[in-house]
Amino acid sequence: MKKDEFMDAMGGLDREFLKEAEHVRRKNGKGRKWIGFAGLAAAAVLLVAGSIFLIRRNIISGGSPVAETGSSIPEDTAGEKLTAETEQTETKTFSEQADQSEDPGVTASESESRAAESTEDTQQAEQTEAESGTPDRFGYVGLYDTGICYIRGTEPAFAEGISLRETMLYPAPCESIYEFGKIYPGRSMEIIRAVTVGTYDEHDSLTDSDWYLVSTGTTDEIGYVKKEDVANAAETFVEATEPWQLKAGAVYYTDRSCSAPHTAETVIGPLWGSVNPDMENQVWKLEGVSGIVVYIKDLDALEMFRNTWQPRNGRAG
Amino acid sequence: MSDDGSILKLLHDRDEQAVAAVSEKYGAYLMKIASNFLTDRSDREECVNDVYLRFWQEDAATPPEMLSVYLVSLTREICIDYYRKNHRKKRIPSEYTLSLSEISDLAADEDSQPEAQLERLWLTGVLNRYFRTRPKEVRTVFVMRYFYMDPVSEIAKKTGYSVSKINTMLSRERKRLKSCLGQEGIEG
Repeated sequence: MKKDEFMDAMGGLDREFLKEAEHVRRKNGKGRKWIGFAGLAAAAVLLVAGSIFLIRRNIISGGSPVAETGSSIPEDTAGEKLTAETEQTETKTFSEQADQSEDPGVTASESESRAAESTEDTQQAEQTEAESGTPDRFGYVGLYDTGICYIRGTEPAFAEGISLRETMLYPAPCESIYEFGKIYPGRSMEIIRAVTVGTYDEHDSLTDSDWYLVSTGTTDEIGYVKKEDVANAAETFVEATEPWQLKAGAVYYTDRSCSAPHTAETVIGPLWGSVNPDMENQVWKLEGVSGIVVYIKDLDALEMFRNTWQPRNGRAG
Repeated sequence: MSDDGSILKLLHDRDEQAVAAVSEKYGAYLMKIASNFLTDRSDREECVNDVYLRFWQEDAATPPEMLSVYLVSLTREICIDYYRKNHRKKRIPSEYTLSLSEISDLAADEDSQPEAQLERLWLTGVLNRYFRTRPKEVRTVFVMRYFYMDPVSEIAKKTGYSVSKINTMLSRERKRLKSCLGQEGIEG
């Protein structure tokens, strides 16, 4: 069976199944929007209530409420707080999100889907980031069979035949990857999965690769995993013991490891295939993966990573 | 906005307003569906226009049972044809591309042969039999992903499940389906 045949066969599915899906696609989407509005309304109420509380507290402590409220928190401090909060949100790791996702409640799934889907949100986040002074330092690292390459924009450089060996690790501002849609750096694995590279032929060449770099959402380490093991069925990882078991927050090596930047905040995702977090067993399931993309937010870390990483298989030199 | 019955009545009467009514009621929705297959807006518009044309050419004597499902199926079919025709060599990022990558363990990469039409019909029958045995929620998630090509995040949003749960469901279902197909003598 070919992929085209499968997709064509899916097109002939029983219309009852499609009706079921139509029902969910339409009905629940609306419902959840209302929940979103309700959440916003609740947040607004809390904000107002909090403001009133602060003002009242200042009134009780004496003095002009407006003036004292304004002066009680120096502007700079408030700005720093805002920045810190923004950064905290920005740097939320995937596993933290995955932890949240264990709760199928509205907040968690809203948060996940929001992180992954809304380009408007992305723009807003970028704007907030710019306003808060957080440097725009994002980088995507694509790992290929011959070394490190980068992914930037919709037409990756290596699609044009540039030697990966010569390709510098390149900090790609998120705007350049924005066209893929659903990009929200550092917040969801989905953003990585949205990244597509090369042509079919180049993808085919990936399958002959030997080694891949693997990291996890929370780790400060990066290591190699042999491709054959990465590509094994998920159960292999669930049942395996070190060094092949990939636990969230930890990384395992084969015979060679590298010391990765401790400041790196990384998220993994496949170039091909899928990575599914199995929260029950706290492991990452990697299936049919022929490449891993590592997301490194910090530019300095990116540089350090570039300097410390050495290709495992001699081909990259 | 016209209801489906009125639209089909217009079609039956060969009133060109039928197309306008479909466009008004379903145009945005069909464009959304098309966006899961094609990234270029003009491509999507072309496909959706083809949908209108096919709808207009539909045999009014046998109107579709459910207009939205009919239009979505048509959109999917036309978009996939368009995708294959125009993006054979180039790998263009879209939900359809991602979906194809996900089923790598289920089906092979090579292009299909025209003479395989009968086999496809048979395969559809196998799929329908298989999905009738599956829980509705699993079936729906699978259909949303591989029929509509909805992004996983969107499926999560609409079903209320987490993204990871959706990924797990899809992964398990692909394996189960592969096993089922294997029993039918269908290999990926």
